[in-house]
Order: sequence, then C-alpha cells, then structure tokens
Amino acid sequence: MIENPFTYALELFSGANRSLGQFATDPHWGSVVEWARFEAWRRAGDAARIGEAKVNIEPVADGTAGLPYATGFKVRLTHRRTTLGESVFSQTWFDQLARDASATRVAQGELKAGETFYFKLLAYPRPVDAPAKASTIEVVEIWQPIPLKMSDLQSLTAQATPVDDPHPDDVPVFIPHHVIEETATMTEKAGANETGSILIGHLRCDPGTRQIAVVVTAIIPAKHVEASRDSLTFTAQTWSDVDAALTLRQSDEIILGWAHSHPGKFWCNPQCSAERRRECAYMKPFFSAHDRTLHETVFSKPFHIALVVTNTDVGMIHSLYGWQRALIHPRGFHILNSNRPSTAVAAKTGDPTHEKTCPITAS
Amino acid sequence: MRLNITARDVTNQRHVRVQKIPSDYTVGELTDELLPKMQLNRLDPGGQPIHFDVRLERDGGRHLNRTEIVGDALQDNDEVVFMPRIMAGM
Repeated sequence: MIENPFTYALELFSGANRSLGQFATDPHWGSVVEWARFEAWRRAGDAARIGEAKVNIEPVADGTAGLPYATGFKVRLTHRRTTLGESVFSQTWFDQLARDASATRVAQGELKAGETFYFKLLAYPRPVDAPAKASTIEVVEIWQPIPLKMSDLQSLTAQATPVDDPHPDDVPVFIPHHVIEETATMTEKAGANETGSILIGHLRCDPGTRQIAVVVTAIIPAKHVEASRDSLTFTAQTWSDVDAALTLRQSDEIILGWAHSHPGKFWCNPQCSAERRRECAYMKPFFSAHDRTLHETVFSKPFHIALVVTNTDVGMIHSLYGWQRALIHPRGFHILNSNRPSTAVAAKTGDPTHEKTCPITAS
Repeated sequence: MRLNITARDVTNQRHVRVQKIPSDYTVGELTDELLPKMQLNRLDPGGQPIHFDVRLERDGGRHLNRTEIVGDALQDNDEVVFMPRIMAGM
C-alpha cells in the first residue's frame, strides 16, 4: 500500500532570479518505491516484512522557508508500526522534470536555449476529491522475493576486467565477454538499423560479505521488434518470445535488463570530415528520453541494467546504465573472461543527459 | 459475479493479486484501472499513453482484445501479463 498525500510542483527561475512560473509535476514513483525497498532489504534482509510494508512518501520541508518549499522527499516503509527503513531523496531527483519544464519556457521565448536556470521544489497537500468512479477492484501486491544465488564474488572479480571505474556504492555488474561480442556482432549485422536483446542471468550474493552482484549469463535477441534507423519498438510478441526462451533454458535465470544499439556512424552526416565525425555527438554513447522511458517502464527494479552498443567509425563502444537512488545513471561494470583479445570492443561511460541533434543533419 | 486473478509484468518481478473484478468489465477497463495500481509507467516522453497488450497465460496463452468482456475471457485464478509496446531510440 502506497500513501502519497502531497503533489509536487517546480518553480523555475532564470539565472537572473526571474521567476518563470510554477509547473505541476506528475512523476512516476515506481522507481522510488523500488529503490526504498531495495535499500531496506540490503540493510535488514527481511524480505517478507518489506513486501508487506506500507509505503509513505512525504516532502522534506525546507529548513528556512518551510513548506510548501521542500528540499526533497522521503520514503518510509512501516510494518505494523515498526519502521523498516527510510530513504531520503534530494530535489535533484526532479532535475530531469525541471529540464523538461524548461523546454516549454524556451519554446515560449522566456528562456534561451542553453541558458542557466534553477528551480525550487514545492509540495502541496493533495486535494481530497470524491473518486470519479468508485472502484470495487482490490489490488494486493504479491512481493517477489529477490531470487539470490550464493556465490563467492571475490573469485568472480578475479576473473573480470573492470570497465569505466565501477563505483563501490553500485551493485557490481558482471558481463561475460561473449555477451559483449554477441551484442557487437548483432549491431554490426543490423547495419543502419537499431537492434536489441534482453539480458538474462542471476543475482548472486556473497555468503561472507552479503554483497550482491548482477551476473549476466546470456542474451535473448529481441525478435518481432520494429527496427528502423533511429528507433526500436518492443512488441507484445517480443515479450512472449522472451518468456518462452527463458522457460526453455530451464536455468533459473531472471531478466536483468536489456541491450540495444545506436548506429551512430549511420546517423552522422556522411559529408562531414573524418575529424568532424570523430567529434560527432552521435558517435558517443548516450541514453535518450525514449531509452529512459523504456527502462523506467519495464526495468524499474534497482538491479536492472541497460547496455548500449554504439557503432562508430572506430568500432563498437559498450556503455552501461543502471539505477542509482531511483535515477538512471551511466555506470561501470566488469567484463568476465576478457583475456581473449578483441579489437572491436572499447567500453566507455555514456552521458546521461545527452539528447543529440546534429546541427548539420538537422539543417 | 466477480473474479479474482493475478497479474504480472514482463520481467516476472512485479505481481499483484486482483480481486472482485466485475465480470461485465472490459479488458480495456481492467487494464486502465490496474496499470497505475501496479506502478507501471503509462506515458511516453511525449506525454502519449504507452499501449499495453494483455496476455492470458492459460492453455498456452493468448492475447486479449481491449473490448473483450472479463466474464467471457477470464476465469477465477487466471494469470495475465501486461506487455508494453514501447520504443527505444533517439
């Protein structure tokens, strides 16, 4: 059960402290709830009670101005009057929504593109309305315990090559070298079109340290997708196919995330010089607004990851994205069994806010 | 008459028990009411609704149409999966 008795708004200001108005927000709270549960579970490990816990979301009042001004919000989990955990999120959680809101002010000419702005977070008690249509349906969440396999993570780490400086606070991710190669081959074969797959494997827990790791074992190529040069649509048939493949494998694997390609060298203007193409934004890893929405919608568990393969003039670049405090960030990972030489793979971290438009192609 | 079913997402990591569904509901009405309660994101970056297909997991599975009547299509203790039609890309 989730109690969320406040609505949130953003007040935008230009760099010169001129108010640009308030924007109501309707954030998707699913990732926040998942993150709070995950934090509580990592601290206490009491999966059963966390699954039954009541979730309460409320603002953290600004210490000076007081409500409605807020510096963030907190998510509290309680079970029969016992607090199981409390996660605090700062107002940076609203950064992307503020960027989206600023776009409307840019369109209206009140803010210049690229101009610095800032925002304040406001929280108002949610109005109590009579429900438009009384629902008789009762919905009870059936908590899915996180399926863990016990495993010595030190020996895994010993076989792995770290990529992009994995952060110690992140759940470590291990991706076998063959998965890196398979996703690169799929990207190459798809040519100018995007391609995708589902990452499957296990969550492993070290019996000594209780540290958890995401260990990818294989990919399931996404079939029945609608692929074009700049988009990839997963259909119902795609998901049915993944379900069937997982059942057939009989390896207790779970879905850990997804992979997709960015055919950057085909997006980049072919008339540009080699030097200019090297600097082209399309040749660099990024996670688009559509990529974010897909990840939020389908892969909202804190351990879910997204692998992006960028096809560039100088080869494939693999970058990984994942959840950190209910926000999607680029992150490091480990490649397992990477002693075999590979000339096609170079891994780099992507830019989380990178929404690219080539000025030359666009004009 | 009312039905009780379970519903899950495509990752098989989010399950809910759904109780007291009026049998004269359409699958579309059931979907629209359930998605927010399952904490599933419903809007794309352009603010347009994300389309979810519903698959019934009985007898090998079949996709349900939004206009089908719950009482005709579903039985007590059935399981359905919500499958988004969703786009990645620029």
